Formats: sequence, structure tokens, C-alpha cells
Amino acid sequence: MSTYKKYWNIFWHFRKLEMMRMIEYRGDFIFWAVVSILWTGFNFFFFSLILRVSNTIAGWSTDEMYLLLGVFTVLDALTWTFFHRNMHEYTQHIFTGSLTTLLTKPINTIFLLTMGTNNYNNVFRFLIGCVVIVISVQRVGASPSIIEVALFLLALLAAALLIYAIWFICSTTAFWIEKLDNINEVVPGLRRVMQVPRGVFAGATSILFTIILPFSLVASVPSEILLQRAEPKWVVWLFVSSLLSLILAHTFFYFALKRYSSVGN
Amino acid sequence: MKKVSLQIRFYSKVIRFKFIKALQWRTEMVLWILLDVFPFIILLFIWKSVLSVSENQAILFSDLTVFYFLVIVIQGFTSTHFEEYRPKEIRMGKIDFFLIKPYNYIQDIVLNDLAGKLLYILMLSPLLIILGTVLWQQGLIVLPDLTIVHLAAFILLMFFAYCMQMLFSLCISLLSFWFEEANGLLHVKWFIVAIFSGTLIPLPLMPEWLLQATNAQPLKFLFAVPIQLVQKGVLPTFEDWGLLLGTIMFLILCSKLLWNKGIQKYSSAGG
Repeated sequence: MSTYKKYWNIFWHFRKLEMMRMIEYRGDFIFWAVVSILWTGFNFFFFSLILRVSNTIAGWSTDEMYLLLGVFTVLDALTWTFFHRNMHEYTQHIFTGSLTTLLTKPINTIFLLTMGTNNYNNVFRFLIGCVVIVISVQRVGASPSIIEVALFLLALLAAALLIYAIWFICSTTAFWIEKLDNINEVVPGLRRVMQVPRGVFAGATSILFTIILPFSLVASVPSEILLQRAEPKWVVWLFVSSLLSLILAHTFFYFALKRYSSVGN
Repeated sequence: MKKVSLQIRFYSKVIRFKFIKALQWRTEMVLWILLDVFPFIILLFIWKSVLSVSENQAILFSDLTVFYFLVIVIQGFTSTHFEEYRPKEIRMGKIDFFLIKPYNYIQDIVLNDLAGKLLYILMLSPLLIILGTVLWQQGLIVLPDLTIVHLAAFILLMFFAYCMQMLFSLCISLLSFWFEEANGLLHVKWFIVAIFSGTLIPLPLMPEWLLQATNAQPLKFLFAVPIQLVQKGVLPTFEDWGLLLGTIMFLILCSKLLWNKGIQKYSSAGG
């Protein structure tokens, strides 16, 4: 129990440090927060253009689509807040050999690598996503119960962990592949898959994006839970796949570590 | 004449050297190509789903396929990305090295980008050929009768679009003589280009206000005009060429002014 408490305290200590850094560079924060809001608005604008042509995408009405986009926006905000900078620094540690310093610390290396930094620029994106979810649920006329809301939050957490695990696996390949700075762009490059209903994909792509690499479930399944029409098999698969991905990411990291060498720092 | 010939030899040697340097990042480039192409493939899935239930007859799925295929082609041939890292060079005072070379920093940026672009095109072309052939065989690429004039105009438009993209990137990079977060302006560029250049959705599907806004400014030459040329056979008018050349001249003047003013402001503590 004390171990969990230690990590909990360290986690918040890191957040506090980042908050102090953010306050130091206020202009930077405001600029990037505006950029983040612009891109969020752009995404909604883009889908509004598509929805002008037809009021539905893969059987999802306009309001349901905005709910899905709201869920995606929340996930995207979490992704950029916690994963992007940490994963970038992770691969830089591998390339420069400074991972050695982290390996010698009396703390779990994966925790240190993936929770060490964050940014607060996406806090407004997160809030926009939350507001859109609430408004869309009201407009659709859905009335999810407390249990469904709890399940929605759990599904959201599972989705975030799935993204995290797959991103971490991608970044870990840096142990083998040099001169590949953009390995961290692979998961962000697949974001378009996450922001559309899973019904958009058919045939082989459906198998690819719902079973093998279930990115089409990350926003669809939590949204379906709120819309009270989630299929149990997909909810279960989202949880199972995120758990499997986490185990795989953990195992892969320690396997990859055997390849690591540096001349000290 | 001899001076020009010497300069051509010099620049071709520099490009060759930069090309060899760019080759060491070939794996990264393959990944960039896939990451550039992938979102458009997903967009086709979205549109297929949308059009399967839509009664809107303004556009066919094959039109959309050609549209996004052309976006991939034009983006591959004309986009520039050096504004992502050049501002840092300027901010960190790392351009002293170029100030004592027989060619200046601007030339280095341009030649480096040309060599990188050459490699990118060489690596992108096989993928485009395969993708184009597959789509053609499935009857998804349908083009009007295009003449040699259309082809020449398209190539010329691509060249000018590349010049425009490069000059935009150059101006953003040079603004870092004054602004700490000049590379953040890159997002502003992406944002404006995405909305007003005609890359987002085909012109027939745009709302009236966006269509008017796209047609009223020179960013349309980046995507909308070349795509209309191939898809509908619409050649740019003399006014269009005038606006395009005028914009490029204006951007050249801006970048010259920014460089001349910026270099006077520049200081560093050794390279």
C-alpha cells in the first residue's frame, strides 16, 4: 500500500513541477492553448462539413457524431497532455543513451518515463470535449444511469490506456531502429481512425481497426455506452485489448532493454 | 555565361551532397509518406459511408477518390516542413556557420529542401503509381480529356505552389529573429491552408461562404486550382496567373525584408 502511496505522491509532485513551469512560461502556455483550441474547433468544423452532405455517418446521426467527437476530444486532450512529450523524451533517452540515468533511479522506469512530464496546454480542449459530451447527450435524449456513466468513465480510461500502451510499444522499437525520430507520430497519425464510428470500416479494415489494432473502438464504445446501445462483446474487447496491450508493452520494454547499451552519462 | 555554368555546377554539387545526407533518413521518410497518405485513405472510408445513404448528387465517390488522390500527389510534391526546426537554429544562435560560407543561410534552406523533396518524390512515386493503378482498375479514377496544355499548366501550378509553400515556410522561419515561438506559427499556416486552400473537401461540397473565401485569395493555387484543372479541365485565367505571380513576388519581398532586418538583429556567442 505504501508503494502505491509513494507513486501517487510522486505523480502529483511531477504535476506540481509542471504547473510551476507552466506559470513561469505563461505566454507559451497561452499561445499553445489557443493553437489547441483552434485545432479542436477545426475538427468539429471539418465533420460539420461532411455532415452537411448527409446527416449521418455509418448510421450515427449528427448529434451522435458530435458526442463521438466530444469523447474523442477528451481522449485526445489526455493523449497530448500525458503521452506526447513523455514518449518523445523516451525515444530521445534511447537515442542519446541517457536512459541509463533513469534506470539507476529507485523508481519504476516505465513510470518515470511515461509520467515524468506533461503539459497543460490541452486543458481547454479537455473542457470543450466534456461540454460537447454533456450537450450531445441531452440533445440525443439519452438518459444514462449512474452505472452506465461509471462504465463510460471506465471505458474511457481503458481507451486511454490502450492508446498509451500501443504508443509505448511503437516508441520502444527505437531500441532497434535508429534515425527514426518520427516513430512517435505513428499513433497520432492514426487519430482519424479514432474519431469515426467503427461501422465506417468494412471487411479487412474492420478486422484491422476493431480487433487487431482496436483504435476504432476507443471513442465509439464509450459513446455507445452513453447512448445505451453498446454491444457487450465490444465493451469487453475494449477492456481486454487494453489489458493485453499493457502487458505486451511492459514485457516488450524489458525485452528491449536487453539490447540497450550506453557509455554512461 | 561561364559564371552561370559555374554556379549551376556548384548548386548541383550542393544538392547532391544534401541528397546523400537526406538518404540516411530514408526509413523516417518512408514513415512520413505512409503517415501523409493514411489520413486520406481513412477519409475515403468516411465518404463512402456518407455517400452510401446520401441523396446529395453533387458529387460521386469516384470524384472524391480523384480529389483525395490529387491532394496526396500535390501535397507530396509541394509541401515544405523546414519551419519545424529552422526557427530553433536561429533562436539558438547556430547560423553563424552559414554567414561565412560562399552561399548564405537562405540558399542552404532552399537547397536542403530541394534535395529532401527530390528524395521524398522518388520514394513517394512508386506508392502513387501502385495506388493510382489499383484505383484506376476499380474504376474510381475518371478524368476528362486532358491536353498537353493542361499537363503543362498543372506542372507549372505545382512548381509555383511549391514556391509559395517554401516562401511561407521561409517567412515563418525568419520571424524567429524576433519571436520565441515562431515555429508555433506553423500551426497557423497549417490551419489557414487546410481551410482556405481547397484541401479539406471538394469545391462542390463547400458551403457558399467557404467557396467564396477560397476563390477570393491566392491560397487556392495550392490545391483547389490544380485539382479543378485535372478534375474538370478548367485552365487558370490570365488574372489567376497574375495573382499567383504577384503573390510569389510579394512573398519573395517579405522574405528578403525579414532576412535583411533579421540578420542585423542577430547575435550569438560563437557557433
